[in-house]
Amino acid sequence: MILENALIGTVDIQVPDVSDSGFYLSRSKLGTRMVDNAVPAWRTLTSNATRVSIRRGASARGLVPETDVGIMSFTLYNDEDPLVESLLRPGDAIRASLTLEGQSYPLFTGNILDIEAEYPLNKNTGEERTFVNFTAVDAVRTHTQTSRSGVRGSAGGSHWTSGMFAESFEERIARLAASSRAPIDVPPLKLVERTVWSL
Amino acid sequence: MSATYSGFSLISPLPAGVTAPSPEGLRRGLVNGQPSVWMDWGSGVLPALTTGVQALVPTVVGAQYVLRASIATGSRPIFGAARKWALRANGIGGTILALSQSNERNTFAPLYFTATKTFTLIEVVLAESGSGAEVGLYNMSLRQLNYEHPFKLRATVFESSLDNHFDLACNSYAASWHVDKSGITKFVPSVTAIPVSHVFADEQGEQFLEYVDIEASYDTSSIVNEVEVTNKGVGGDGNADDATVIWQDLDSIGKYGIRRETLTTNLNVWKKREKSPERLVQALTAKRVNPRVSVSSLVWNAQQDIAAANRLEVGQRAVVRYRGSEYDLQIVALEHDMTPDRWLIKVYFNLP
Repeated sequence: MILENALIGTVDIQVPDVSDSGFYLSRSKLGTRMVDNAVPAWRTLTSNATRVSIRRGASARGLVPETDVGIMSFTLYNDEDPLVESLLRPGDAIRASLTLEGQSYPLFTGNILDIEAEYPLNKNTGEERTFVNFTAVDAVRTHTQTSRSGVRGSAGGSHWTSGMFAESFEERIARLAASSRAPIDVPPLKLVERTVWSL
Repeated sequence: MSATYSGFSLISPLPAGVTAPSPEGLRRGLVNGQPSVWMDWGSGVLPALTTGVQALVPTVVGAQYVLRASIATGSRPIFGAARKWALRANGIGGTILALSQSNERNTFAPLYFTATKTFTLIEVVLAESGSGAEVGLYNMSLRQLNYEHPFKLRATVFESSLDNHFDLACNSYAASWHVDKSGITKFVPSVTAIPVSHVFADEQGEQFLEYVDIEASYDTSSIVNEVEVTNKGVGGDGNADDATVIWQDLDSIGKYGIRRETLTTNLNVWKKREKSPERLVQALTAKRVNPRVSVSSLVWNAQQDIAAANRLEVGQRAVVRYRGSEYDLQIVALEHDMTPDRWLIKVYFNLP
């Protein structure tokens, strides 16, 4: 039997907390966000979220899967109104985290792509409400925005037709990783030994 | 010019006063059935760092090597004898091995080095002076370290974004890639090379993740029996040199008509031992030339087991039990749908 409990406190959407301190380079009043290394603490947005959806991975349309941009979208009710109070901007770090036995684990890590606010009017009461829709994307988007012109391995083989500049999968990924603007876990190169001399 | 024994010669002539059964005290022998070179010296003090044997071995400049050797003592009492030895390559030493008793068998720690010359001088040298020695070298080898290349990727002039380059490399190796939940880009080898991480089932059990909805179908639209493979490459003039091959399964085409897919690879197919695109396509389509029941996605309530929800990740291998059959699949995408008190995860699978 599955017991369903309120998810707040278990799954949280968090952004770097920049509101409680006086001045943050790149965040506070100057309007630019060039210095973005220090992430002091995380602030939770979930309490006013109405729905969260996350999709990561590939689509299996053809013969082989093709990796898509991972997307997290959520809506906040009467919170983080960009016209009133919010410091959140596109490009900011954002994550969804899962709390399990006191430990925090990531569920999604990315950056805010778009913030869209709607102000529907309740005509019965005249109350103006705010719904803010956030869309965040993961590092796949960074890779789609990074151009790479060709790949050539280190020289080897005597002629083009005998595999000159060919390389293994691991070498290829390591080479491509040099162009990446997002962290990559490069698969380790496999070493084999070949005896060249023995007693 | 001193004589050599299996390529070995003395590093420097024996000092006066050292007795030896032969002019240099070197002889060939067998240890544990393997060829060995023995150093056999009687009374007389042997100086450190110049006593020992050396051999010159051809090497490739810049290549990495590992030198391994085992050492044995003879039956003579070892008390007071020279017994601390070191393995060296081009004068650079490894760890020192101390021998402690007669008829001992011991192995040097492997010495890793990068060759700087076309010939490398390997030495086994006395590290501490002593009087008399009877030691034999065996099991000695120099091995070049290489990166494994079961088959290679060809150079390409493909101008595109990084994600398409990742797809191209993965297509050629039947591998896959994704950005994991902490934002790191990960590469997963072909699904058969990784262990099963989860079992989803339509029955109850502690060991199962019980799904609440599933999309399974018997559908002829998943058939693939003709594949147009474009292998990207670059010619000697530096321009693109792409080759296109059509792969067909005529038996399946006869039964179901042509079902065509395309695949772009980047294999280096010139060497005989390297995997050709045709073999890759055969592996990819092996289960898709005939229609059969396939599971494309399922929905699981994460609140059954939050810890298991935390372990779910794209790229993992999972088994799905459905109507008495088991399907061995790879997770290609995860979709979380959360409302204030409900968390459903839709798990998408790759068509095998």
